[in-house]
Amino acid sequence: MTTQKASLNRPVFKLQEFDSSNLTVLTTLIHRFAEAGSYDLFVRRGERVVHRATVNVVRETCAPHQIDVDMAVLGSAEKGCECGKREGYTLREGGVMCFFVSRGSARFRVSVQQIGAKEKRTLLDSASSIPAGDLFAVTLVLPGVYRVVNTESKAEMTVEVEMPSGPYRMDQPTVVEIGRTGKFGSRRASIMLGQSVVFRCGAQARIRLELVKPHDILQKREQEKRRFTIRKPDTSD
Amino acid sequence: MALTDRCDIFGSVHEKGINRIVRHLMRQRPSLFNYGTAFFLRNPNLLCERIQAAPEVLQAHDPLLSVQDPVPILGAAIPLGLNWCLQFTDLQIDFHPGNVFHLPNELGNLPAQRLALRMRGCFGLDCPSEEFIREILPQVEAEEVAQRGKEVFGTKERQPAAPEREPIVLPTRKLQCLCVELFAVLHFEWGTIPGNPQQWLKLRLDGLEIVDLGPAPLEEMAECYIRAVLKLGILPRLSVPIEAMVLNITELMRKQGLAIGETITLQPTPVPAGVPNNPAVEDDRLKAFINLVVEV
Amino acid sequence: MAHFTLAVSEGTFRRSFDLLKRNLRFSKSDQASFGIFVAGYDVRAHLEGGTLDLRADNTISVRELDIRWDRLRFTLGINIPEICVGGGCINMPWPIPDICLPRVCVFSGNPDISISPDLAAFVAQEVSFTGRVVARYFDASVPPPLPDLCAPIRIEPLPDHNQWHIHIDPQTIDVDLFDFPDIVGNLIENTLSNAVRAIIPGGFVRDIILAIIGGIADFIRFLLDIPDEIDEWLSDLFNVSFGLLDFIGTLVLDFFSTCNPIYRIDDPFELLPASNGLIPVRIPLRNLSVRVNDAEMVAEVDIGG
Repeated sequence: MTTQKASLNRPVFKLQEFDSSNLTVLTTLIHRFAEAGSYDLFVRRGERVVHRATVNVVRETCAPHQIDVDMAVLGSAEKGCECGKREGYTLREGGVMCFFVSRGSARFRVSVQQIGAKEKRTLLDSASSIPAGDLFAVTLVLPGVYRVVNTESKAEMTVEVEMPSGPYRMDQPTVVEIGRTGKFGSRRASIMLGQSVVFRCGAQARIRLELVKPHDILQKREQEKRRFTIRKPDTSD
Repeated sequence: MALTDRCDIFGSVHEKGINRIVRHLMRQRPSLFNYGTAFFLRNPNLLCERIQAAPEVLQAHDPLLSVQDPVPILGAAIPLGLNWCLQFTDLQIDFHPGNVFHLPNELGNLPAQRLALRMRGCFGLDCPSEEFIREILPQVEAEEVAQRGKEVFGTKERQPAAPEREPIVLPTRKLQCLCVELFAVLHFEWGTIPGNPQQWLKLRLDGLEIVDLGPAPLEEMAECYIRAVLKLGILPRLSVPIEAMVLNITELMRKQGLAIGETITLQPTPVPAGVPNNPAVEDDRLKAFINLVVEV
Repeated sequence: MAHFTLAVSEGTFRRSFDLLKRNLRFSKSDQASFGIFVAGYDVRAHLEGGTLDLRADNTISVRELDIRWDRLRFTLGINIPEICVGGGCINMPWPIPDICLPRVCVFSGNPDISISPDLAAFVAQEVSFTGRVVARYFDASVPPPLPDLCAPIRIEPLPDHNQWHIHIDPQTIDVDLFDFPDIVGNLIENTLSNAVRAIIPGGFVRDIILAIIGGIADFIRFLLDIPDEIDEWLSDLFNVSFGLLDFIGTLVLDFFSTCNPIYRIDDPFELLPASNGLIPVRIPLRNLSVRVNDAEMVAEVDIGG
């Protein structure tokens, strides 16, 4: 028998907090471009712009409705800032761009500005909040109870991530509505490990999730960690 | 009754088959049946009997006879020889019971388990012409006198030995031929050959008769010589190894990619424990009864 | 009456058959790719048991000849695919199309596992076949048929001269299917599970991944596309996908087939070889026939004129 160790995507198993203002692995920000026009897109890792592009939103139905942007691979082509380069996306009017992080422990921010207006109008700045109409999804891998807070409205809810007892499907996200007042549509949601919870924002929001009650398996493993201790010899005599 | 009731492998050959093989052999390898001086290689039409060779033998320019030394003319001061030939034709074999040809009275009826052989043999010897004898006589006389002189003066012993000279073969215009019909009675037996452990099927001579050759002492002399020729010259050539009579099993398996780590031998079925006669010559056939022995 | 007759007893055939069994060893190895996994085998076998009968209907029958596997090594290499979480689509109010979430994979790269258990102790097979003995004349002047179906299994090339051939034409060949017992299924499953477990880090991460993949047993079944029992899947692999049954059948056919004579004899037959510059002596063979009864096989041939 021969085996080859798998190379793990370790942050997936480490992150216990998620924040829409700091996009990390397992989070997805979905921004909707409701009107046709041209937009400037900036993706920042920390304070550094790692990606800048023009998004042309058109009425042609042949343009894609959804564009996924894996921010983990942006700027990986060559080291340094890519801000001098401008890439372009073409999206159908009403379509969405999904910003996600496939791997790594970096944190990202996304901003979108409309071009052509007298003043550049910022439609999205994830560092501060998510505008109404956008969605924020989190895939939760560590089981336990998460506290969810919309810091814009101080609303709270909990999401319980359960261990599955049998076969199940991970591709069935649970949608939580955030109303016009910023309140969550429900106080409690329950999903299976590896599934996603999606917050559909009816108002401007900033969403934070935090694992507040880890599942027993996480705690048990912590306790079971083997330790190697060397004690200093007692020389008091 | 099965052919292999009392043995592992049974092989038989009918006298008709043997006689056909003999006919092929005589036509394709005539040198086995015709002997004579080199002169006849160039002049085969002067032989006692015309050799009927297969076309492929003629195309290959194979010699039609086995070349022998000429018969020396005894006493001649210079080496002189005469052309001669000995030819065997019309060879036939008859396995018991005799029904292919009749044996002469001297040999009686063909005994059980025996086979009979009939052939015609022609001996031809050149009779040199008086004209050629007159021609070469002065040379012979001169040599005779020269040798006599050396002896008179006592020089012969001091001469180094003269190298062997090729004999002068007197030219032949026509052979004197004597053709006789020859009958023989033979039997088969199994036996080994020194230096070869496997069993061989051998042909042994029991009796021989030359028909109508006189006077009696000459006939006896001729029969004695031919008996020696058959026993020491021809029959040993006809011995057949037992493996060649049936499938060579080891070779067959080797061809199929099998390395056999065992010894497979064929041995004659024992007599009389296995079969009453082996080989048996009966029902116009030669029959061989063989056992397969596998030894680790 | 034929000029030459050769008879071989049934007992001699049986002893030759025993000899063949004692000396015949065959081996073969191969592997095939089935997309996500690679499976292979390395086998070595010998023959035991079985009975040989000459039968009155001109056939030779071999029954219940055991194929004993000295080695039946089964190799299975699986390229573990990425295991991902998330994904799925969000229903949006009409006319907005659904939005589908990207997936995040917990493995980067495709780890490989490989197992190679020897299953020789768990399987045994039998072969039975019946063949009719026939003599055929090979005329070298006649070109072989097109397509030449015998070409792939012919042991020796066609001769450049005429020959008489004795064949054992198979009438039936029965080979037991590979039938792996449950214990082999368990063995494979346990070995595979250990291999999969070994590539996953320990601690709670393993628990989570096992929860994601739904347990190793189900994961393996998913990877190998096993609908039912693993031993049945394995049997199917050997019987159909590997074509090992064909191999055994071909092995029998190689020895006994319309394509490969068990004995061949030149026509004309060389009685005396070429020697001392003389051409060989050859005799024509006519009317070669071969027949089998319940006691012996008899071959007869005439000498041509």
